[in-house]
Amino acid sequence: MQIEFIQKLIQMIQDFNPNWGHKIMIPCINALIIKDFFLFVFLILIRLFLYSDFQFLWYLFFATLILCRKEIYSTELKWMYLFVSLGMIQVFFVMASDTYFPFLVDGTCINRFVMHICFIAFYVVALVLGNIDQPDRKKNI
Amino acid sequence: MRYIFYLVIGISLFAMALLSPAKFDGGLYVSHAKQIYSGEMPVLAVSGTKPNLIPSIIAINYRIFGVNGFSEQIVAPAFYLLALILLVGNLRLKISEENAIIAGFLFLTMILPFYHARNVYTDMPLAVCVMIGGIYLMRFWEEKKHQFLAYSIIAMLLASQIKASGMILMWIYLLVIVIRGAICKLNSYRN
Repeated sequence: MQIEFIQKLIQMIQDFNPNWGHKIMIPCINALIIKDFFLFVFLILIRLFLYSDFQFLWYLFFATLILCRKEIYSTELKWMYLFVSLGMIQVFFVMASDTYFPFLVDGTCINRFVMHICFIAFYVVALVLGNIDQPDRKKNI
Repeated sequence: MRYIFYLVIGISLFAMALLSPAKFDGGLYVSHAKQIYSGEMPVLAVSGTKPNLIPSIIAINYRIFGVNGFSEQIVAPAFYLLALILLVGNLRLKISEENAIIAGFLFLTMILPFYHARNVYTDMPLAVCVMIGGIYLMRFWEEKKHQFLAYSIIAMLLASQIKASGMILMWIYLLVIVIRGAICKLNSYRN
């Protein structure tokens, strides 16, 4: 069991490509069918935290939006959160377009549009967490 | 000592990004750049759905470094380093040096920026221009210096010339400015 798992792991690392997040859903279903729950959880964890279309940053982004709302709504950071959120909504408009349908089919549509705002999202999340980390310091933002 | 470590990791990632060739739609941008270099296509023209800012930069690189792979691949990693410098520099001013360095390390270990710095020509410059636009817009709102607004607007205009989705992001940027202005005006009337 362990040797097989390590072999699968090595194979996955060798075949690693951040743009085949969509392909991992089929191994997930296969792992459920053969009742290999350990592999299923492992694949789901990879899907959630490693792939580029919806990585850990976005969970952190929405978590700070909910948990640190006072920190955000009392400052100018709320406008940057609005900017990033509207930037994510453009994905739904793009999905209606014919030219982007191939990207929707091959599973790279979301990461093609989310990646353009990931840097500014990273910056605002870092600012919020940094301000919480140092509550005594005078808030710049 | 930690700065040296930080610098070594950054430079090694930069070098790794330069070593491997572009895999995706690089051919189209390179052919546009060669047409601009030879004078067949005007600079900053829109060819099809793709604006020509990145091919124009590659054509300038052809003038400086010669027509080779290095001039094509230097663009995205250079923007990658610019993003890192801007991120760490601004966070160092806003929060603290330690947190800025931690954020820089996290940025360096993100798969997505490194992957796109290595493989794609346009997405890294677009993300960096959007980041510059957002950072300096926030600094303008906070410090009321008009030079920051100018940096922000220039960065967003460049973003709209890099890719079609940059144009959508520029409209969203204008929408956010208008919404903020309207709400601030309403609050001032209410008070």
